[in-house]
Amino acid sequence: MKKKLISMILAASMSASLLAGCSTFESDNSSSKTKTTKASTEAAEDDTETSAAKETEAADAKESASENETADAAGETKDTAKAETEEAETKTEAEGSEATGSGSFVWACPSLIGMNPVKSNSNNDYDVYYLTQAGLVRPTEDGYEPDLAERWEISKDKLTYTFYLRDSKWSDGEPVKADDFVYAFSQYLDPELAWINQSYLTYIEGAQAYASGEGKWEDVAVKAKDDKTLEIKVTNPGTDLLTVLAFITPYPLRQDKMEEYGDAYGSSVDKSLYSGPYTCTEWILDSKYVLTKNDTYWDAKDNWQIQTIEGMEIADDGTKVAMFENGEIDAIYTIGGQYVDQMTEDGAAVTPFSSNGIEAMYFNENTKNEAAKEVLSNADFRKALSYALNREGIAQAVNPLFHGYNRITTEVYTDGNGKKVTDEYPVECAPLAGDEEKAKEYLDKALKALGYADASELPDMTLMSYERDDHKLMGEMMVDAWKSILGITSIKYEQYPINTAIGNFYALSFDMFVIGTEGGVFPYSNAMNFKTGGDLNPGYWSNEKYDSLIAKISESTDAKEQNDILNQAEQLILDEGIYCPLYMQGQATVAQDYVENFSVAKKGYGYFFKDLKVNK
Amino acid sequence: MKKYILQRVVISLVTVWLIATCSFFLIHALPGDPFSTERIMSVETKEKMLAYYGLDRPILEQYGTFMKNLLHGDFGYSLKNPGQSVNGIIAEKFPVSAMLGIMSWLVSLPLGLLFGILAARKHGTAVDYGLVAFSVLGVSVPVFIVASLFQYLFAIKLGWFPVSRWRGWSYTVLPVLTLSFGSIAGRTRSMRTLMFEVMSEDYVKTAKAKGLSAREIVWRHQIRNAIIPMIPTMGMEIVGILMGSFVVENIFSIPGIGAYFVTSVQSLDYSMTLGLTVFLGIFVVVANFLVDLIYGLVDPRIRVAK
Repeated sequence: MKKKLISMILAASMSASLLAGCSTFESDNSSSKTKTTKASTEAAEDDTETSAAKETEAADAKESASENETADAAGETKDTAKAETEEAETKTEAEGSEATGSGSFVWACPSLIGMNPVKSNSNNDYDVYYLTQAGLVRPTEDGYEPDLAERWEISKDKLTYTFYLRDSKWSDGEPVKADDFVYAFSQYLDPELAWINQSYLTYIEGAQAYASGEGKWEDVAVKAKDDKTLEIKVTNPGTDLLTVLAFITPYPLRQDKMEEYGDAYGSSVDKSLYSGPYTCTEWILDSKYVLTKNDTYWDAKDNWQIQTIEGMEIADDGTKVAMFENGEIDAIYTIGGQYVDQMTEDGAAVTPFSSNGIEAMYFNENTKNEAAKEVLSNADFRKALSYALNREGIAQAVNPLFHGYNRITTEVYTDGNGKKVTDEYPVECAPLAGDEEKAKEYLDKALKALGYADASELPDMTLMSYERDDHKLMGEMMVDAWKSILGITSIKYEQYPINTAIGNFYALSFDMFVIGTEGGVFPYSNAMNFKTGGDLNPGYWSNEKYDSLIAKISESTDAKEQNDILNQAEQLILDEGIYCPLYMQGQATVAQDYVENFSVAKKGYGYFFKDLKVNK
Repeated sequence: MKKYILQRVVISLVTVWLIATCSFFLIHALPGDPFSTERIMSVETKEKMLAYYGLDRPILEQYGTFMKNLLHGDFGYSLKNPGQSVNGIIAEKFPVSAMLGIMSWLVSLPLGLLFGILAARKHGTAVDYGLVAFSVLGVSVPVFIVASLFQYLFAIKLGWFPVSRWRGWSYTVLPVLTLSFGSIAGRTRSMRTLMFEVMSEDYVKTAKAKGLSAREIVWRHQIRNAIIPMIPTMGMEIVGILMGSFVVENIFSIPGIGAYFVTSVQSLDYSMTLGLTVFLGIFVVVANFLVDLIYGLVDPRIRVAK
């Protein structure tokens, strides 16, 4: 009897848990959902077949529903467009709007880490903020355009920028004031909050001192002249502040809400405020987010035609491709190199683009490996290793979207005349396909200077990097090249999980290390990383001449002069061989053929969806 | 009995404490820190961030804070996703994995037992060999191959089920099938072996002599005795299944907790890792406790021995 009772209880509890488990299905499972303002909630079965019925239902619920398939009718959504219905998510999954043009856009994209711009430690979030927030200016493909700043004036001495804000509202109806920008800058530069992009704002007067804890906030030259006027001063008349503001846009923040929610600000949909063309109406961590058009945005009438953007975070590339080919998603942000050929063959519109970052190898003159110290400090040895590499071959083998690179400045920068900086300022460096003869020459010189008779006598050295798809093959190919071309058999490749590897890098526990950099705002941004004490130089090298050139760039007030000095610095570091560029990563976006004007930022961040159209 | 339960509770608490402590020191022993990622930042910025999260304090002080918060059930905030509490993430994601796991278990348990019994009864026939082959295959083939195969065949090619996500009952079919595939295979094999052992027991001969039909013998006597050795393993099995299969959730884009076990350690998200480890630890301890209790209930011989 007891046994029977127990087994019955077990069976009952299991079935009960299953029923309770129904609520784990995606549409209901969102702790970040906002309350609906209209009683249009319904325990909807998330079946796409019933979406048609829901469409007509939603047409009635015009006032509160902000995710509507019948997009034309839904033009008049309320100001506080945070209301949402439970069916919303099935609708965006179902066929697009009946009308051509506007409607919904569903795509596979990177995950959203958080909606607090100050705390976010992933700059990929800035791609999403581009849609939900608005700053002074808005980045575009080739520059920037006015956003919340209707117009601006630059003083004659080029040190003072005055921004005149247009009338705009936050998602809760409050107007955006200049004070919101001032507060935001105080947070971005706060030495204790440690915003990861603080270095970008150090062009502002007083910012560097304040951020490092030595100065006062009052001395930072970001001031609100009145509710609609903001004044920012820079330290160097050669800096184009607008370019800086368009690279990582410092978005305005609301002091009252940030203080109210504290640490939890930005951790869910209702604990965030939005100032941009879209508001976030649903967010399931690491799963998906839904953005709904904000009709009070100043540019909402003529642009930003898509009503709902649903970003799905799909972990597996194969699944992304399958869903794309099934027609379940309209676009993919990145697919791996191995799918590019397959999808192109299937007729999809694949757009490869290069990321603005260079993967490079660094030699450690202060390695803990005593036997190798002298060798690694020899510039000819370093150049021998560099010239022996067929960069293009390695890059292509690792990933068909990558391509070899041999400089410190990437090709996205243009000078005042619209010409590429890299074209105007060539340097002498290792050719992309490598140069075996020169490599052997350098090696011979090095061996002689160091006193080795033969390459096989060189001490053991390790090439180190972190775990990433491309690194293992890359490392093996490099070690192989050195073995077969130069006869060096004592180098081996090791990789570690990323946090451990980077820890080693900063602790200078490596001989040679491969790590990527991201090109910054200006052409010389990458070069600055390598000065003594620079972000990418924890102490493996120090060169006075290089440091003085970098200092001169910072002090220079003329863009052309900056590029001239940069050229010298670039040639110096390449001659020293301490920095050995390898390749640039590439990505590819894919869009269905009924999607028009699908574009993402190649330099900086942003999903450029202003003119996006989905013609289903 | 009461004394036994009290003993077990005390041991369980000590075990959980041990798990928490060991995990804490282990993860902090790994070189690097949560902010040493591909995104290069200046050393000052990194130091500021470490200070903000209290990670620059001496290790024992951090341990003290961790233990104090643990007693309140507070695992803090995830370092990777700022503002998200560890408890919140677990509360949101775990039910999904649990549901997936329970459904898989409910599918694999009866099916596995059934196939095992079938194979044992039809010993030596084609059915038996077929089932053995199936079980060997099922145990050897890695989960991600099964998952990709099912996804490609049933979702993409045939279109019977959705490709991914977790939106309704039709979305559960493929993930559950994938996850239970290996368990069914394993259980078939073990049940078959256990049935053989039982078949040669004396009480079976007695039952046959009494005139009971084959089916009655199987149902009333053989199964009960064969299942008993399987019960302890079921305890650990539940835990493994409930904790979410990383691979299945990955391939089918299911918003469960599986992924976090891997990513939290890789990214050195201390609070998340510790939260998950302690959570898992408690589960294991409770599951084992319950299994031992049930074991005692089910098999009188154990009870008497105690």
